[in-house]
Amino acid sequence: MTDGPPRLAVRLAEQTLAPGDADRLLDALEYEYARFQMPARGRLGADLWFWRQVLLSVPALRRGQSLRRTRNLRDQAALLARELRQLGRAMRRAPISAGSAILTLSLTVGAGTAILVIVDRVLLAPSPLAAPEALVTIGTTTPDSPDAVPRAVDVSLFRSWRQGSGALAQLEAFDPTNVTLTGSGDAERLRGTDATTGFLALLGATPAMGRLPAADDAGRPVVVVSYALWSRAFGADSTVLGRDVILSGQPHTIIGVLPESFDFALSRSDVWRPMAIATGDRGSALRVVARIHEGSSLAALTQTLDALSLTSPEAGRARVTPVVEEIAGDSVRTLGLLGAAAAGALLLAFMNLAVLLTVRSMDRREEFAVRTALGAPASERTRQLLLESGTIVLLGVGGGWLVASLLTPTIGRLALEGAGPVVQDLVVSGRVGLTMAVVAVSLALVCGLVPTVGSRPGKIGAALRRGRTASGREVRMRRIFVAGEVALAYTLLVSMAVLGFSLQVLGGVDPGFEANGLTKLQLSLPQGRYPTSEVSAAFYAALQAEVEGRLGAGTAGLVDEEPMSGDAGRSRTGFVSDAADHEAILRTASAGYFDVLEIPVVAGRTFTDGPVGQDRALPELVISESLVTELFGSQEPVGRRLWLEALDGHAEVVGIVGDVRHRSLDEATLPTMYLSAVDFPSASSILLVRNDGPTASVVEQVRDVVRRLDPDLPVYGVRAMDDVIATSPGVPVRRVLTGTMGGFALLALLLSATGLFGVAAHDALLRRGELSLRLALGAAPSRILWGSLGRGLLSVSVGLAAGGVLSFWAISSLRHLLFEMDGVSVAVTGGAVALLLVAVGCAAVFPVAWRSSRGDPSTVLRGD
Amino acid sequence: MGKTGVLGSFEEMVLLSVLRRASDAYAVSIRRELETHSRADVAMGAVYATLDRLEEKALVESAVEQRPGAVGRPRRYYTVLPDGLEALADTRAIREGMWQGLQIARARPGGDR
Repeated sequence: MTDGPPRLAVRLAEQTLAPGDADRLLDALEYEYARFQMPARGRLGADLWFWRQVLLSVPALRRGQSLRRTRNLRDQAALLARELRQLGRAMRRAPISAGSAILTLSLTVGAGTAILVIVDRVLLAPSPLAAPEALVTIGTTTPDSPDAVPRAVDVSLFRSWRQGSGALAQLEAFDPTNVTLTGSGDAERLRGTDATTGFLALLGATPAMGRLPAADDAGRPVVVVSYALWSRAFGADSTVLGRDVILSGQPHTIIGVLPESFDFALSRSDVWRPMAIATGDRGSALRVVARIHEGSSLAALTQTLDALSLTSPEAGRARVTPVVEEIAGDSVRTLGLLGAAAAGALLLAFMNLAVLLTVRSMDRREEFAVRTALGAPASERTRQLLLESGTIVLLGVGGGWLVASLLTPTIGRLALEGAGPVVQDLVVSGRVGLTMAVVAVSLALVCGLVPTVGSRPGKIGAALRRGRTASGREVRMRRIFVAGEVALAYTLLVSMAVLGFSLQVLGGVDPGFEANGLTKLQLSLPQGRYPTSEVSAAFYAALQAEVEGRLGAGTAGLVDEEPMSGDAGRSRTGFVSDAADHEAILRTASAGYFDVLEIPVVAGRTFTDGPVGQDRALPELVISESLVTELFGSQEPVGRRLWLEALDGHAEVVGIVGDVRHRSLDEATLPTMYLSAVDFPSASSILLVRNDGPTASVVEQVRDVVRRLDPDLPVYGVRAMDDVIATSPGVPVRRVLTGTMGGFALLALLLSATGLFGVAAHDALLRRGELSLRLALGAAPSRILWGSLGRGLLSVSVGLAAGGVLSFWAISSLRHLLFEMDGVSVAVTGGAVALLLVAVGCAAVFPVAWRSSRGDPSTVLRGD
Repeated sequence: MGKTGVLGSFEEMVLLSVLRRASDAYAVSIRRELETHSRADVAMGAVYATLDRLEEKALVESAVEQRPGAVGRPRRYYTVLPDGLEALADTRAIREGMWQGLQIARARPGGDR
């Protein structure tokens, strides 16, 4: 034992207190311990006193410590405020570079956020279907081209699949159709789906009211209606169950109402009817969905169905696709491309910010060096850079939020044309905002640190000597960034150019008819008032005559489905029923239809106006040129007979017309057959009217005519055919991608140009002495000019090389959107864009190079 | 009232101890002074923490000195500043004002020693 106070207590104080606090406390306690306590209390009493003092003092002093820390934080906050004020002054001094960085960030962050909102909504939104990952669609392809778009399935094959795959999955079939609703107000044409009885339950639908079809409903005239139809046509009447409605002339009993949330994007419908799969059915094509049982797999199902398909009479291959994938379809690819473009632009914006900060940091190098010399910690510089980068990013993200709020609905509508209710009320959600904020802040951190990597702050003397010019390392770094900007600009420009050209070529594609000045209007004849085809045909004839009487002869034509409205409605055909191995789109049209649409009649004639049976034995058939090529080769088709599955009989070919596009401009032409609308009047028809006057007046005249003929008949679905083409599949996607990439490319071009100019200017400043000396020694100014230009263009060529590689990847991702562009035209586009960038690079560097070569050496050298 | 506000009771006692010790006010003597008057154990740590706080409020000041007559190493001596005196006077005035007219007997029997 020693004479001093208890060692353990001393150690405790030393371990738990800050050194200064421990020292003074122990000094005082040890002094008092020896001087007063030992003499008064004796050793044990003094030891106890010492322990008690330490135990009571430690908490008191630690509280003091934490108070001091809080005060320190307050000091830090005051410092931060001062630095922010300095930053504000600096930004006001050079508002253009900071402003452009903020603007660039706003635009790119905004566009990126808008795209992310859509990706979030489309790809990550909860599906209205139950356990959608187990749902698949199944189609068939021919054994020769298994990768073709899968087609609908023959009934007999569906039955054999169903029997053969019971253990692996539950299979149901559906068939999208159209029906006319009558008997509850005006006639209305509805989208409907005929489906096997287990179909809705398979998707996971639960009725909002009533029930879903049961197994014994198959083929019975009952119907489940959508929430939308229930609200619209039945005024959300809660007693609607059990009520009869007339669908295409047949009374159907309403057994259920689907909930508002139910949505099956592959066949959006207002009415769902239970379909019977009769044993004798042949030929009618069904679409198939299946729910894979737990423990089974997509691969196992594919294998089983494939084996069954190959041995079926028509020998095909089974193609199984997840429903989620099929619903998302092309929009996934579009979104991927948009996302890549946005990511590229965002990268560009941050590169620009990094360059800006590097320059700023160079401008302030002397200031930092002096402050470091006066004892400021090295971290101060890093902190200031991070603060500057953070402030710019914060303002940029705020602006981006605004831009995103404005852009999102537009981009969403254009990018996801046809994706249905998912694109409604798109807003920037908290989740998306947070993601973008995290990305932006991380990039701000990186950008803020880039300049500190570019130079070593420690060498104060060197920094003061060098002043505001850049070190070699900094210049190299900036060159790399500028080359990166050029690479991104090149990639975006090339992508935009090839897409833009495709769009332009697509715009020039002949749809097979003259859309300009053509308006479509839709009519549905209710079964009750138009019970027979004679009555319907008489109405259509009167309608056509009246409209033409007002607008002029040859201005109105009738058809059951207008061009560019889809490629549904097909029939098999051939010379005899046993060899009907060709498929063609089947339409019914009036005699004047081809004239009104300006579809050329290549041979023969179009329809006569008289009905079948009076002066001819067979229905008349007009076929398109591509069907002639497929079926007749070099033989003369006019006067020949063709068997049509849809008629279950023959028709006589009376004429040949040009092909029209049915679905989109970029598809291959599909062979088409037309039957006479007089022979087969459709309950629902499209009236196409050609008129040079304003659409509104045409529509009013037609409405007036229809009102006079049948006051209860609605005219709906009015659209200009120009507009139908402009929004046909493939056009909006290309337009939105071209627009987005074009915007980003322009930004990239501007940033590269300013970056090149900046690097060249700094370079010239750095080499001022050397260049002046060379001029003084008699070097030709042109040599100096070319040398400076060459140095500037080095970044451009490095960027172009990298951009070439990048754009190779970009174009291969865009391949499916390129239209009539071969390798040569892509290469020519790439070359032209490269030339453009070189020209822009020259324009950016030239002023600096010119000044360097024209400087007065004596002024510069005297100045140094 | 002064700009420093009302003193806490321990702050008040520490300030009074500094005044009472006059030219001999260093941590150990202040603590002992407090212990003598409060008749309770006073932690040295609490004294230091309070002196730090008072110094920060500019109610006392301190300096390390080797005073004539003192034994051992130089010590840090404390002096009350004019603001400290004002704060003491304010606190006292408030307290006396509040006591005025109140008669409170000691609650604890035998507590009147």
